[in-house]
Amino acid sequence: MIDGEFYMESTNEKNVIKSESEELKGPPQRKQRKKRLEEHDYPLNITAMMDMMTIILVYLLKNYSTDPTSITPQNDLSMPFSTTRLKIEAAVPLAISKNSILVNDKEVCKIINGKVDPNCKEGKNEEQYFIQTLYNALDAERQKQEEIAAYNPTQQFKGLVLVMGDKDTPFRVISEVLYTAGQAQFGNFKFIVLKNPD
Amino acid sequence: MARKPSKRSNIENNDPKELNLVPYLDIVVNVIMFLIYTTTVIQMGVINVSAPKYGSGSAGSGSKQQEKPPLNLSVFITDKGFTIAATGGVLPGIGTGEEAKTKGPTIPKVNDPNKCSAMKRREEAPCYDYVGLIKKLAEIKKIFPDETKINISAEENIRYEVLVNVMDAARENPFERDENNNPMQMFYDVVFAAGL
Repeated sequence: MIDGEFYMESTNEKNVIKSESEELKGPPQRKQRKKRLEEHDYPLNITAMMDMMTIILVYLLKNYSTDPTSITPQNDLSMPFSTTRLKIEAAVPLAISKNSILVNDKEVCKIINGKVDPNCKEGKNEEQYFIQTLYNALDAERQKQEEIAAYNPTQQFKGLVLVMGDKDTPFRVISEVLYTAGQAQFGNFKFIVLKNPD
Repeated sequence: MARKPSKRSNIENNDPKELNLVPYLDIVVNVIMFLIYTTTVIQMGVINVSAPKYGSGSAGSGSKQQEKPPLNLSVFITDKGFTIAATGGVLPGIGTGEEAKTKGPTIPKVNDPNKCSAMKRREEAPCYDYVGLIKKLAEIKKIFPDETKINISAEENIRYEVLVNVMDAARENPFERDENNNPMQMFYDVVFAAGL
């Protein structure tokens, strides 16, 4: 019934004349049916597509939530490759890029020509291993974690730091950063590296 | 006089109407795009390193019961190569000649381009001989099978990448396999010592 109405509405005079002339040549019913099918507007069935999209969305959201740390690749931080098979755990991110040292994505000290900026150190002494500004940032982080641990015994302070180092960082800078982190009671380091494509 | 309300206009349409999913689909597609864009495809791993513990060597009566003294295996990375040392002393150089054996590092840098491109690395010659380091550490592991600790130290200008490669070389031996067909585990307990 609906099809018939639609057909009636959509056909114009020309088509009617044409179909009349075609009626003489071939079997009339089949031709008319074919024409009716061609002119019919089929709407896209969105429900099936919606199903698919929802499944993809759930999958992506689950993947997103299991990632403990949001590590955003930066231009001046290219990490080295390694054969390690251990997975990342959630901890305080400490990045040593080509130009700066960052704690929780906030810059705490600059790196100038492969050396820690002396202004970050006490008395601007270049030879010192202790980086004051980095210590302040990590100490604040430790206090925050200990405060959380006081209310939630499952979240104990473990002194864990995720160290993301640029592959060209000199050992002197790394040992200065690790020494300072050790002073702020962060004694366990996890070096983040890119996994070797096998 | 008020008219009687029209019956026809008040009849509820009982035909099942389909929910308009198009705007919802719009939102879902946008969220998916955002999630795909923000998820990093790069696979990352972790190397565990601990800081050196100053003055905590003696653990009371426990250490006295140990028969073997700790090996205290150390690898020093210098511009010339790797020097391996332990409690007993420093391992002599593997190179030929009197000077290489006494003054040079245990595993000096090599000029062989084949060795420089080994282990999926592309380095310019002279480069560090990681294969030589793995083989030397595997020899030590055979003599001290229970030892897992290694101290790593380097000169101030040594790059972080070299350190990671040394830690990789010390952790597992890809030339030998264990019963599960995994690379043989060697010294995976890394402790960083301060500069030379």
